[in-house]
Amino acid sequence: MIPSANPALFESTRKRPWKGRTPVWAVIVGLATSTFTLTHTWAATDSSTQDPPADLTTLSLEELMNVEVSSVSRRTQPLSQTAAAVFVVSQEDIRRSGANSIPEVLRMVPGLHVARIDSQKYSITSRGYSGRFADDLLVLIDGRTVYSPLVPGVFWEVQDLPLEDIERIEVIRGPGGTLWGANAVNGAIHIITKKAQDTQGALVTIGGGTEERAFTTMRYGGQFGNNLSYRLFGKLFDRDRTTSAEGSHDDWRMGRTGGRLDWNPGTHDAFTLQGDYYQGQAGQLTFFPTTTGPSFSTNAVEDVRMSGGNVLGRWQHTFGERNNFTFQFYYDRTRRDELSFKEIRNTVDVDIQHQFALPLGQQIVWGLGYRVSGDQLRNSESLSFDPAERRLRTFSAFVQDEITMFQDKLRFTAGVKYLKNTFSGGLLLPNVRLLYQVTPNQSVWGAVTRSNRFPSRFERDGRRALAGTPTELVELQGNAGVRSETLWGYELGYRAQLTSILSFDAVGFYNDYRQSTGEQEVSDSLELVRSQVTTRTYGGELSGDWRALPWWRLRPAFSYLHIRRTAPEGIETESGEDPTYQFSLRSLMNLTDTIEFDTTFRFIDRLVGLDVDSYTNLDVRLGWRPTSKLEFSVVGHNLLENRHTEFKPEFIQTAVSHIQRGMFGKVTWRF
Amino acid sequence: MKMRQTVLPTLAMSIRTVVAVLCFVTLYLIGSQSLGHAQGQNGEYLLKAAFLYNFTKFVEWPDSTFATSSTPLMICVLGNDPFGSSLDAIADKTIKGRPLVIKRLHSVDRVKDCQMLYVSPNQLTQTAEIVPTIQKAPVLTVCDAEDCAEAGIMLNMRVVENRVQLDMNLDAVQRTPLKVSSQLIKLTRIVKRNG
Repeated sequence: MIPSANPALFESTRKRPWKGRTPVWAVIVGLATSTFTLTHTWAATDSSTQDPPADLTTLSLEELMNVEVSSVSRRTQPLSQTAAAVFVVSQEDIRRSGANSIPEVLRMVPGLHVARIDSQKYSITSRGYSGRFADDLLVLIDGRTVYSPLVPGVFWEVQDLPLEDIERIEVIRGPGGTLWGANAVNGAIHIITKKAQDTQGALVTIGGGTEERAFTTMRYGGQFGNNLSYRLFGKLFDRDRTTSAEGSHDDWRMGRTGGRLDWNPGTHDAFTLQGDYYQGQAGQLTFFPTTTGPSFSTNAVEDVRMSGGNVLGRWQHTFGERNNFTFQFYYDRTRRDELSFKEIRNTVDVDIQHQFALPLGQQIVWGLGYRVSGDQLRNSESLSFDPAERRLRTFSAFVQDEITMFQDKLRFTAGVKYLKNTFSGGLLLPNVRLLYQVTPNQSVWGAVTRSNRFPSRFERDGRRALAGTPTELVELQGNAGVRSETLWGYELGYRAQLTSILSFDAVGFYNDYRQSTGEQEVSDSLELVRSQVTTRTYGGELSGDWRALPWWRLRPAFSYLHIRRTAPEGIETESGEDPTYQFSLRSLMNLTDTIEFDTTFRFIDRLVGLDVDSYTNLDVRLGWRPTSKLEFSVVGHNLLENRHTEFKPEFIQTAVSHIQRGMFGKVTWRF
Repeated sequence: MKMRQTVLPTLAMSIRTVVAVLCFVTLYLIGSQSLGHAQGQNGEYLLKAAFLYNFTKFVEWPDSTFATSSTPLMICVLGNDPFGSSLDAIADKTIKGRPLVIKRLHSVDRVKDCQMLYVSPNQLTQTAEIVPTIQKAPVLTVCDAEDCAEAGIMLNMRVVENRVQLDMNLDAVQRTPLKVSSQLIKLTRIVKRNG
C-alpha cells in the first residue's frame, strides 16, 4: 500500500516506473519540478496537453513560457516512450469536458468504466471488477492514497477538489503494484494539483442548473517574498436527487476548504505543505433485512454525514541532474456516519524515495514506506466488525532500474516491491517492462507484472446481513482464511503518431487473478467470504486523436473486456457487472477564437449480472471566453434520454437510481 | 551415451558463459554511449533554443535582408556558446521556407550578416560596442543575463522561478526596420534603456 504512496511521492516514481523509460525523464522532470513534476512528464506523454514534447520547437511561445526549465532538463519523455497503458487528462481536457466532479471527468479516459449509482455514488474501474467498492483500483491525490481498506474501495463522493486546481490526472490501466503498491491491481489513478505558484490571483466560479443545482468555488493565491507561494480555496455545492421507484432521497451538499503552500528556498530544495477539510451530507434510502414478513426487509431514509481532512508535507531535494530525494508525510482523517455503520479512520503515512543514475544508462529508484491506518467503527445489526477498532500497518520497500540502450531505442525496466501488511505476510511484486521505439513515431511495448490486493477489513473481520428469513438473518462473514488476491498481468501495446495530426494507441492484456473472493454457503444462515476464485480476463483498448482541422479535434476510444471466473464447487461469485464493449467519441471544436463547442457521445454495453441495459448518451458544452479572464459555459449532460440506470448499489443496499438529463450554466472569472 | 551426457552440460555451460560475457560487453558499450548522449543535454538551453526558433515566427525582416525567397535565415551566437548541441536541434528547421543556419562568432565584425544575434553572457561587457555596430541594421539581438535588455539588447530571456520570461527593449527594436508582432510584445515585459 505504502508504495502506492510513493506514487505520490513522486511522480518520479510513477513516472519512471510506469513509463518505463520515462523514468529518467519523468524522474528528472518530476524532481525538478518538485512535486509535481508529474505534471510535465506524464503530461508529456499525452500529446494533447501542454507537456513539453520531445521537440520543444513544436510549442507556441505561450506554451514555452509555461515550461519549467528544470522539467526539460532530461529530455522530456513523450508518451511514445512509456511502457504502460497511460492516459493523461490535462487541465484543458477537464475544462472542456463540462464535467463538474472528478468521476465525471474520468468518463473521458479510454478503457475506464465510470458508472453513476445515484447522485453521489460511483463505480469506477478499469479492466473489470466494477462496483461501488471497486477494490482493485488504487486512487491517489497528490501522493495521498484515498483507497479505503474498510470494504475496500474508494468513497468517490468525498474525493473532490476545485477542478481548476488540478494540474492533471494520470490514469494507468493495468497492474502497477511495483511502483504504486498494493491494490493497484487493475489500475491506478493519480490526481495531481497545481503548485501554488501556478494558481496566483483570484478565481471565482459560480453556476447552477437542474441537476447540479448550485455550486461555487473561490480561490486566492499570493506570494510572500520571492519563493514562498500559497493558495486558499473554498468550494460549495448542492446537487439534486436522482429518480427512483422508491422515491428520491439522494440530494446532497458539501463544503470543502483547503490550501497549499510551496516554498522553494533554492534551486535544490522544494517544500510543499497542503491540506483540506470537507464536510457534507447526502441523503439515501437504505434497505435492511429483517425477520418479519412478508418482505423481510425494512427501509429508512437517512442523511449520511461525511467529513474529513488531511495534511501533507513533502520535501524534495535535488542533488544533481538525475539524483534526487523525496520525503513525504501525511495525516488523513475521515469520518462517515450512516445507519449501517459509522467509521472514523486516521491514517499516518511516511514515504521516502531516492533516484539516481548509474553508468550504462541506468536510472535507479528506490523507496520505503510505512502506513498505519486505524479505525473506530460503530456496528449495526446489518453490518458489524469484530474487533470494532483495529490498526492496519503496511510496510513497503521497492527498487527499480531502468536501462536505456541503443540510443534510447530500447528501454528496459525491472523492479520489485516488497510489501507486508497486518493481513498479509511478505509479498514480492516484480515488474518487467520493455519498450522498443521502432521509429521516432512508433513504439511497441510489453510488460509482465505481479500485483496484489490486501484483504479488506470486512473480508477479515466483518459480518453483514444479506437477507431475512422468519427465524433468522442470513449473514455473510469475513474470516481469517481470506488471503491477498494476486494477479499476474501481461500487456502488449503499440503506439503510433501516424501523421502530425493523427495518433493512435492500442493495448491488449491478459490478466490472471488468483485468490479472488467469493461466497460459500456453510449453513442456511451463514455464508463465508472465501478467497478461492480464479479469474481470467482479457481485452483491449484502442484510442485515437485526430486533429481533423485546425479548429476541430476528434478523440475516439473503444474498449473490449472479457471476464471468466472459476470457483470450486459451492463458492458463488459475482459476474456480469462489467460492460463487454464501450465506445466513446469526443469532439472538440473552436468555432471562433472565443467560442468552443464540445460534444461527447458514448455507448456503454449492458451489465448482464445487474440487469442494467446498455445505453448511449450525449454530453454537450458550449463555452465562450470573451477574454482570457472570463469564461461562460452552458453544459448539457445525458441529453439523449430523460433518465437511465448506469449501475446498482452494492454492499450497502440503497435505492436503485435513474440518472436524469441535466443542464447547467457556469461562469469562471479570474482577476 | 554416458560420455555425451557429460559433454553436453559442459558445452552448454561454456556457451552460456560466452553469451553472458558478450551480453555484458554489449551492454557496457551501449550503456556508455547512451549515457554520454544523455549528459550532453542541457534543459535550460534546450528550452531557450526553442525560444530562439519561435522568435523567428514573430519578427519580420525587411525583404531586402534576403537575396531570394530561400536565402537562409542566420542565427548567430556571439562568444561562448552555452547552447551546445541544443541549437543544432533547430538547425534543420525551416521558417517561412527559409532554412535556418547557426553560426558561431567570436568577434563583432560580422554581426550584420546575422538576422538574429544571441549575445553570450561573457560578451555582454562588449554591449556598448555591439549596439553601435548594429545600429539600424535589421538584426534581432537576444541575451539572457540580468538587465541585458536595459543595456540595449532587444530581448532578454530571463529565468524567473524556473520559467523563462521575456524582457523587451522596444526602443531598441524600433530603431531598426524590424517588425515585431504584437503577439510577441504582449508576452514580454517592456523595459527602457538605463540612463
